[in-house]
Amino acid sequence: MIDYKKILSQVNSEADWVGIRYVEESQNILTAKKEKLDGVQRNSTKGVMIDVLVNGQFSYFATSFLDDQYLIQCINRAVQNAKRASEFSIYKFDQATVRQGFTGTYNTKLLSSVSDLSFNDIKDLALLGSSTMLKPSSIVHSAATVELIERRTEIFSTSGADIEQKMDIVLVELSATAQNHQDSQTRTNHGMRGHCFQAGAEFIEKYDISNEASQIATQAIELVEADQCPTEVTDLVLAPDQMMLQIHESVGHPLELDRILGDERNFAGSSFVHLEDFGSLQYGSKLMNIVFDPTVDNQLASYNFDDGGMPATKEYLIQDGVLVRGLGGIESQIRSGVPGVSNLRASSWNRIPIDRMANINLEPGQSTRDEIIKSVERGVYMESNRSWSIDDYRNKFQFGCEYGRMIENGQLTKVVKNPNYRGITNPFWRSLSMVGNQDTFEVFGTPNCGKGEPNQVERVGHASPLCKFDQIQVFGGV
Amino acid sequence: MKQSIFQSICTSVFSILNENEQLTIYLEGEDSQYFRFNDSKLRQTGIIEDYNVVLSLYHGKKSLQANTTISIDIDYSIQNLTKEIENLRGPLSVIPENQFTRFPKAFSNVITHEKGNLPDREEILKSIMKIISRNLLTGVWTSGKIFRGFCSSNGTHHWFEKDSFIFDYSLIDRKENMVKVLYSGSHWSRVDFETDFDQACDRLQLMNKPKKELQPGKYRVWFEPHAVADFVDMFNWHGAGESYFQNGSSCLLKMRSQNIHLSPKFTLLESFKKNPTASFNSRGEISEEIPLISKGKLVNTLINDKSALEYNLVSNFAEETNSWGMGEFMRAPYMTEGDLKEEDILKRLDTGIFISNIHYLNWSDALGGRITGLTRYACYWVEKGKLIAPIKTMRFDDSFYNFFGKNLEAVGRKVLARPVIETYDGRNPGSTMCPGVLVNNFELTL
Repeated sequence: MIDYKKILSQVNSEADWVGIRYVEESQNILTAKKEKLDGVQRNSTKGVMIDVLVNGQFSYFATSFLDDQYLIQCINRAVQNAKRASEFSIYKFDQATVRQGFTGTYNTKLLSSVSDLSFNDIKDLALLGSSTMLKPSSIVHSAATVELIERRTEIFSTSGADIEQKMDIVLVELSATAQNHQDSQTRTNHGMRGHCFQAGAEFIEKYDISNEASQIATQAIELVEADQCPTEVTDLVLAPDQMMLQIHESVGHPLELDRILGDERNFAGSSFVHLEDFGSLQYGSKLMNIVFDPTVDNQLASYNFDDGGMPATKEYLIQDGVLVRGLGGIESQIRSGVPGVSNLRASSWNRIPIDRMANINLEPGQSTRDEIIKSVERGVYMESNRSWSIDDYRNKFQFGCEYGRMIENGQLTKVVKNPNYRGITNPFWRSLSMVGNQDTFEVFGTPNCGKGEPNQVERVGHASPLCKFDQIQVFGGV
Repeated sequence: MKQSIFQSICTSVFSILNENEQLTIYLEGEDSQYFRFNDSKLRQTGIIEDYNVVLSLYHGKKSLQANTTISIDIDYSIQNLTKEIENLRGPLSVIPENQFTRFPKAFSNVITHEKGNLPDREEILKSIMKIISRNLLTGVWTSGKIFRGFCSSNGTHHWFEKDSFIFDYSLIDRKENMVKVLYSGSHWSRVDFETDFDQACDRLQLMNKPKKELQPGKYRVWFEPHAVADFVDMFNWHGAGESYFQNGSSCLLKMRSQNIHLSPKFTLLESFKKNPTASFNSRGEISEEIPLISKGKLVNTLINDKSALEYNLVSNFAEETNSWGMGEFMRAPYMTEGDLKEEDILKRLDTGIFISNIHYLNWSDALGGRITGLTRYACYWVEKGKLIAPIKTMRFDDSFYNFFGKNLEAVGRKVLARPVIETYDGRNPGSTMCPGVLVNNFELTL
């Protein structure tokens, strides 16, 4: 075991500040396809990110060689790099504000760790899911994947940071493909890798995979026989598992302060939001209340401290439709002067923390599910994302779902395939006319949010009630 | 990482195998320096040493994989890999045999050292800054070595090592006009970079006009090679892999099941000769040239060993499924050239849109071949063969069965390499090579 505090105490350098973030993560991934075990993989990684601040400029050094003497060499190399770089800094950070030394811990709320599950428990679950989906004859392909992840992060710094956070994560993905002579349609549980949470072994033990697998197979068959989603401007009702994507792409990313400050313009893009919009921009209708909330038990991106070592709390980003706060960690807050949140996050030891989403949730409203459906004379209900695309300023989006149903005269009627819709972010959110109550509220997450140079993927959580949007352009497939 | 260190680590690890066990070790690694710029000022900088290996442990028709990190230290790495192998043995003993599992056969060793002339790590920032401070640049400089390695307990040993740099940047003026540049290579020349940078500045100057707002509808379009590369890369996503045909999700399925063709002008190969990169996959298998779509007809799919066994086919040594759940993807795509000369492009386009780059592609109907995405960076409205004005961002939604099919009017003569810039799993030495295309009736929607 490396004593990182001891290494920091031995640092004799020109750095104003030195931090060490150690990350170790193990993933056990098991996939069953049709009625067979298809793949078993164990991923493990561990390493450290050294970060130094010299003359107001950060510089990092990432390595998996965990040796005391080598790490001291890495610190010295990072310091020399920072010294050279500080001549050209975009901003001179002050250590006292940008890297305060907080201490504390975080553990996923659970009864027992995912590591307590036996290999056979996981194997049997995946095989049951996959074989259940394969029962109907028109299902040509089925797959069930179970991922169990344990991640431990330790943060130490010369300013006194001493933080340890442990997360247990579970992902279960089910997928069934139905085929006829003309078409092929795939249905999953809540979209690609959307069924993802912080949880313990009890999640797997209680998971009714048979029921969910049967429903997925049934709906895949319905879809392959269904008509195309019509092309028209109509009312749109989105299920929480599609709202996840809608919030992610058209609220989360545009509110990231590093995008607004221009850091991401060469890769992920910029934002239509300007710094002066905070506190005044009517982002959506008055029913729209969006929070950054890392305190939700078992949501995928819950934590007590971000990877910059700052304590994390629930904050409103959009309140009664008005933009009030940005998604920016301490570095972006200092650079922009805009209020932010503790969201400096890194995908692993080999990437530096940048402004990321964590749990970004739409708060429940007052409407029941029945009230929302009954209010629609003609419209389309859509579930589970399968396609997403939005411009580099986060305005013009087009999203596609796996499963659609017509709503006619206040009733859900026939299933429609290839349901898509498109719009522009602010007008779309201003057309939000009904927000479901707590009974319609569901929690999801995605492990695949990409950003940063060098690129990194991050796990983010999203929760939402059922929502209705008025007069949106919808359309189907070819 | 040195080849000799990797080989020493592998040799030691093979010595702990039990009777009837076989093992492959596949390495992906980098030792890279990064500078990230915003408005020609430095935002972030650092060094990343990252060496990731995939261990595949076999016992007859059983196999399990472990993905883990090693380092430049031999003893530390051996210790880590030994522990991972021990962790695999328990589950390996209880899983059933899989008839689609087979230990890879031996191949002749392929050793590649692509030596370059990389800039001095201590000097490069100052050298770059002298040039880029003349304009407003946002982007990332990356330089260093990229590694791929493979060792098998049956004696196969491959090594690929490449010196490379890439400056992936955008020039962005105060009106937020943008020009995208991927300046890459293995031999750094400050003079060459400065020339290329000045040309990019000139292209940005061309953007300094009021932007034209187009209405949704159908347009004639010239797509530059990097935009075509983005379309071709979509064939990696439920596309050219045999398993996607078999499970009914391939976007190319209609070309097999309904005998639908693309334009005779469209030919796509997997070619490690024309598009050099590490030619061995994670099983140590070496691919030959594989025509995928020839003159508009689907002639081959990418088949890995697992699909070959499952569907009774012959493997063409396509890649295994990776940690993203993607397998049988193109590693060296090459779209062949046409006859449209560069100097004739605007004249042939006549009136329409000149699209340099596209952004955020996704399937709106994969089986129908429909792709949605957006224009980005330097895209112009052209009238009677002359650039008139940059355009505002437009969304498109059209099928490649149209724009690589009946609406493909011409293919450019010049093929360009678009390096892989994604670094989610570390740097990648590959590229997608494409010419530009002239298309009729391309559909803009928003």
